[in-house]
Amino acid sequence: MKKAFFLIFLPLLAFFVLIPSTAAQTAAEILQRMDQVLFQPGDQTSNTRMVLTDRNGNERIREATIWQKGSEKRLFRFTSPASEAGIAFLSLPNDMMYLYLPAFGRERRIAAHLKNQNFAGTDFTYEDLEVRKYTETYSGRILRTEGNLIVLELTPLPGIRSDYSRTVATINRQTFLPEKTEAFDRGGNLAKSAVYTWERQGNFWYPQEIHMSDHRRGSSTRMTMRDVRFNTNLSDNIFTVRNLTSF
Amino acid sequence: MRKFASFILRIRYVVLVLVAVITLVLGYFVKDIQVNPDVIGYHPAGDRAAALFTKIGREFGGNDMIIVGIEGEDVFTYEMLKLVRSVTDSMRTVKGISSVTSLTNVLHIRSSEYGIEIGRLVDEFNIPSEPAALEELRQYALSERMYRGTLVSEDATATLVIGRVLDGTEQNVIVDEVKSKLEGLGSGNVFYFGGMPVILRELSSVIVGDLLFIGPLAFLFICLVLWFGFRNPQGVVLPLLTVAIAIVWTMGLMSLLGYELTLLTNLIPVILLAVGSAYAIHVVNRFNREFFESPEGALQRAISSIALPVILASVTTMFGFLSFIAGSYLTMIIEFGLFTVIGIIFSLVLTLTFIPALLSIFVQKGWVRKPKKVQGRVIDSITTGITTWVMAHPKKLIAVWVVMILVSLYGITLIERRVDLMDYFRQENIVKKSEQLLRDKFTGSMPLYVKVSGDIQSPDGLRLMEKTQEFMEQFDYIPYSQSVADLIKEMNDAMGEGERIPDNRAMIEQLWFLLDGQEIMSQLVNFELTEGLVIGHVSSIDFQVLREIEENFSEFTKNNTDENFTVEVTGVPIFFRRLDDSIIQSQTYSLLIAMALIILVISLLQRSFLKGIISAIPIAITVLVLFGIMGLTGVPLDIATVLCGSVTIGIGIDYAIHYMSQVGLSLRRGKNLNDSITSSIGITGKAILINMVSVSLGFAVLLFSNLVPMQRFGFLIALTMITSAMASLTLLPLLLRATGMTFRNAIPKEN
Repeated sequence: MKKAFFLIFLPLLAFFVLIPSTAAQTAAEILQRMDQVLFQPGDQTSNTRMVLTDRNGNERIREATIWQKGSEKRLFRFTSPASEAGIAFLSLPNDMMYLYLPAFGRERRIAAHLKNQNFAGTDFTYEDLEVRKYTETYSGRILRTEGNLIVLELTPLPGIRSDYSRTVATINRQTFLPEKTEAFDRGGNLAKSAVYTWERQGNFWYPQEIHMSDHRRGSSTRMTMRDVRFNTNLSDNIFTVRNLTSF
Repeated sequence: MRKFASFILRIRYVVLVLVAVITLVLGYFVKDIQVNPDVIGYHPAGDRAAALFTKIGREFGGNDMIIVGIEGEDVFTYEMLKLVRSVTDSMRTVKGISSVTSLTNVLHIRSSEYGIEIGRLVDEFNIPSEPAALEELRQYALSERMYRGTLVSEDATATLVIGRVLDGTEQNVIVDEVKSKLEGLGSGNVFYFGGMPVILRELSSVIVGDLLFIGPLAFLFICLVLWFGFRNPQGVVLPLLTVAIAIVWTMGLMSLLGYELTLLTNLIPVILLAVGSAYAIHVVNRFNREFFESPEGALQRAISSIALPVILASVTTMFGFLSFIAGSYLTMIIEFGLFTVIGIIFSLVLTLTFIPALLSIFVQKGWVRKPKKVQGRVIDSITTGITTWVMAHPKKLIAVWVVMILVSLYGITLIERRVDLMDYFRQENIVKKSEQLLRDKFTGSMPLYVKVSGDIQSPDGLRLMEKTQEFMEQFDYIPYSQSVADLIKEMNDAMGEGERIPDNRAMIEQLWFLLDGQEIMSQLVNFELTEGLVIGHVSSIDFQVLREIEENFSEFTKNNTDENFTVEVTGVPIFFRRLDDSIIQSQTYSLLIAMALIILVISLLQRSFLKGIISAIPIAITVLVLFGIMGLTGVPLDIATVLCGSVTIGIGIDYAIHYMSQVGLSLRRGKNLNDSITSSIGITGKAILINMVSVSLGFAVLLFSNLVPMQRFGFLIALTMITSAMASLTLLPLLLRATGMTFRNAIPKEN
């Protein structure tokens, strides 16, 4: 998918270990280093708060709890506002996605080819929530270095389906964490940009806040994470359709 | 008048300097004048439907749509869909376009073996290329009323990409940008452009093109007429210069005061050319005659004798245009009336000050050539012919007019009313062709809005919207409608609960959650979820249909408004209906006002109401004939032709005044009534015929306009000038003879 965006969510779902930087020479090496920094944890739980701002400056706030195990199992359950509490999205391997609406008391599969849709009214698409390795998604090119920052141009590898023609990522040379990404559409226009604030917990970095702007919609989403817990041995039973409906 | 003349001559240099300064100052502002071809926007601020329309535009992402039509052999091919995607992408990046809808990104909800799908009809990242997949897409898209006729034509040879334009943006710039972005895309496929911003953009450029072409052409025309009429430099230069200055002043003042050039005010230059030059012609003509007799004091004599008739002629003309200010609902027509009156005042003032000042300098410098005696044989023989015939065959003459009146009365019943903007373009215009395609192959592009205010997330709120849609779609001319109720029903179906509004609020809220953030939602409901729109697509612009829509929907909204919900209606059809209404209303009021004012002026001059009425008979018949011709020739009553009646009265009454005054003058000189009546036809006939030709020709230039209403306007005014002249010269003598009335001299003794 928008490989670009996994840039964003990668950290959210996965974890970064601070690895002392050595002078990375080429773009490919930097991408490799970024992948190395990605430490796939056993699991992660967090509470997230999403502030959605539309073109006219109207705000809507949603809260959810996220459970994540490995890179392919994830459960999103909304907790607020009350009318949306209990709505859940479950992602399983092989592009299986389920939606649960408590008022209907039943789950429905979500068609896989719809991943470029915005998730829950936010400026993130379903696929922005996925995790992929940089080296398997992009070819990179160093545009410039600015002090502590390296600006990379990332182009999707052949065969990779992308919403965007290229992504410009600003990477911190010490941490190999992206501080800002800008994604351009097929027409070469800036489509989306994201700015990250990183937080460290133990050995892991996680994005305490991601501020994503959709320049075509004129909207933005500010997603903040708290109560982040790593490696609490989440049971596989959490990530089942039955668990969805039994809430 | 003599005092006035010598005063002007004394201060002639002051006059010239003043005129030069004012012209420079106002001329500077002319270049800043803005063009605004919008017809719908010209409603008074207090209009409720207009206010609601504007509000909806602001809150729901723009009322205006730029529609790009793509035509090809088959829409459902890989290449065409790719082209649609390219066009969609290009339009999305244009600043000021809030959203773009096309086959490659339109919302799509269904339940399939894969589960619930809330996504896109076509996967824009994976456009189908296999024949089977394309066929499946075709079958599906053509079976869904959400797409068939709205995004893809029923025969699948054309598809639309629809961009919504944000309110308050520079629409012309956006239209140009869209067009330039699409240049070079899709070689071999034809792009059509439609929608209000495109139409208005085209109208703007046509207006500007018209001014740049028709203006000089009219000048050339008048120049030729003047040359043939006078054959000397002062006869050509002075009227043209005067009119040019009057036009610059009027346009400069408009610009300075922040008024825009509209579909109507762009007529002002031509009107001033035709009418204003006539005043100058009178002065120069009189000067030439006086100069021919004796150069000494010719100018003073000329001015003192001609000032009053010229003032009278201009006052009556102004009354014609003033009637628009008092009698019209549309600000566009009011502005037109106002600035034409101002322009006429400018022309008058310049004629009485600037021309004498300049002429006197001409005389001083010896630039004035002694005018040749113009042989008026053709005209003389025409007037003699008229006189003889009128006097010899009064019954036949009356019979002719009676037949004309009867035919006209019949014609009036045939008059059509048009408010369609498409009517403004010539047949070959590309925008007109585009709109034709849109109308032929797609459901209507005219949005009718019903706004439901209240708790729209409740089952009752949604059911009210559903009911509104059902109400809309029972009419043939509203083939398609949409609202959030549609989406909720489809989602409910996809969840396995059937295509209906859930009874339970929690269910609705959760379905709503899934739709949140979809572009279409912001077009259908407001952020607070207190207002929802039901959008009907109206396919007909027939005024009967417009009336039916207004009547039905004002009743529907009234019946469905209660303590919980408020239902209101607005939209383009409602505006067109109002426009039609106000055209009729403008027509009636301004005609009545113009007629009343004219009768009043003549009655005052003649100190007799009856005489005022009699003088107005020829012009009243002319107006009848005007409408009769409109009905018989199929020229509809539109925003421009609605002006013809009052303009005709204002300009055409001059002929009657001229004739009546001459009869009065003749009587005072001791002739008996019969002789006065007869000889006056010969004397004023010449002046009337020359004036008729020059004014008619001046307006006939409008036939070269690229705007159809302007062509019609020019044609009709030219025609009514002829009718009015003929009615005055033939009917008035009979009326005077029949009533045996005598007339005072309204125009001072000439020599």
